[in-house]
Amino acid sequence: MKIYTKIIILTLSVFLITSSTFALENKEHETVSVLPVDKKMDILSEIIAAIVEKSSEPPINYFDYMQRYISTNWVELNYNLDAFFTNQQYDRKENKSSISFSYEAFYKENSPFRNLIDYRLITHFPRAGRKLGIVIQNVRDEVFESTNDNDHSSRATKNSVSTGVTYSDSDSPYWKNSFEIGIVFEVPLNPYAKYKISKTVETKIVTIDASQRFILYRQESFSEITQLLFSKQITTDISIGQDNALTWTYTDHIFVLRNSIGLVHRLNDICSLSYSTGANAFLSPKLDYYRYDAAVGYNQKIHNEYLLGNITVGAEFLEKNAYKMDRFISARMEVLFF
Amino acid sequence: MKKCYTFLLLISLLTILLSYPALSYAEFSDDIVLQKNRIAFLVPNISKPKYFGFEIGFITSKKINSINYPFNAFVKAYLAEESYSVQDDLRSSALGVKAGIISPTQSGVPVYVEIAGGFAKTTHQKDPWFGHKHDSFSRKILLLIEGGAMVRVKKNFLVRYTYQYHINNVKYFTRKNFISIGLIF
Repeated sequence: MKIYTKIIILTLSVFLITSSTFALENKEHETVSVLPVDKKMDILSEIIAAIVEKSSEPPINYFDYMQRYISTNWVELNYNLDAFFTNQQYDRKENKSSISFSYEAFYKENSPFRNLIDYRLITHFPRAGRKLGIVIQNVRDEVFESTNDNDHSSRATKNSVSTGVTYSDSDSPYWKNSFEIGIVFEVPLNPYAKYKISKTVETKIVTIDASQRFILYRQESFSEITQLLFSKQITTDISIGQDNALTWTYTDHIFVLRNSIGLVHRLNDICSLSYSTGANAFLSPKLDYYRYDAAVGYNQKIHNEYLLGNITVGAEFLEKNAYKMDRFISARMEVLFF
Repeated sequence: MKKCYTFLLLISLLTILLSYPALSYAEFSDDIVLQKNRIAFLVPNISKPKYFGFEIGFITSKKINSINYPFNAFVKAYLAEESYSVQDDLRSSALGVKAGIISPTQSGVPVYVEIAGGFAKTTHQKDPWFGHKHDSFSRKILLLIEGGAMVRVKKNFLVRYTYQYHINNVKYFTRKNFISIGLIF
């Protein structure tokens, strides 16, 4: 090891010293490129003037600049990649690449305070692959999202990033298919494949959405989610929905059923209230409802179309706590770049 | 270990001293920076412990206009494996990203200095690539910084020496000095 290090020191020293002599020999062809002092002062005064000018504007404008800057750059990057591979120019508005970033603070009685950060980078290549998109996102726990239950879902992967390619086919008049394959950024390697088939039926009374998802991760193994959603727009401001989800995971070997009902009341163009209540049950060995919950949420567009906020208060009643009430509160903020 | 620090210090001093005249007086031609878009490196196993590494990523050409100093910035994905260095039957793997700069030292001479920072997810187990997460003896996040010098050979090939410093304590990656061969394309 010592000899190895010494050899490297010697070789590199020789290299660097010889290179400097080369450089000295070439000096006569080189010109001085340092900016004159006056020029430097000009640039400095321009920068100061720009800062003074901007500081008179309200701080929210900086946020607007930032949002526009990130959105434009992200769309530009994807547009250029798309145009590069296909040699076709098109209107930039066609490119629907977007970024969403959210932060949620969650507190429940008798459990620790939680911070959740979630993001999703979506690229859109309308020319290169009409139906193809690349998604970089924080790994989502779909089982948790469907059952809304922390205790029976594997949130272990939540802090990992995944990269995937999605293919969706919505041309079929009967079914909508989407297929995603990708890899979670971790070792041992954790590739995944997801398939979703869904159908929406509009009737005179209600709209029915049915979907079936199959999810296979190398590490977390197989899970499936079946969902049936009935929804109806009662007036222009009020809509109701009834959601039924059935999940199964290979690791737990149990079916979990969730039934919930929700009402969304739009107060005006920028804010709305939502009320929901639900119940979770095990299907085997017999149908057993083990958790009930109820919540009220307030949603508001905080600034323009891209800064959204939500506050939810609610309570859950667990069988293992003898249906004692555990109250919870969560605040969530979401920024969209599109 | 101390010798490695001395070595790193020596290299940085030499670089600063030798590149100073270049920065002040010389005009770098844009050809001195790496002109291609992609870069790849392979770390072959030269000495113990048994190690394998591969890096691939994008490079861009940048320039500090006020002092007319061109340089390259890069982002690379990298994977590495070190085998049987801590225990006879266990291997370690890392999958991560590195970002940094490659800057020329002298006008007209293809010797570059590379400084980078990186982040990787690592595991230590019998089958670190295709095994199961729960079989791992340890799973940690590795933060690293590395510095080194490289020489361009025949326009598109690179030979590089780097010294890697681990910011957090991941004991199952023991190798610190690397010689790698690279390609820009």
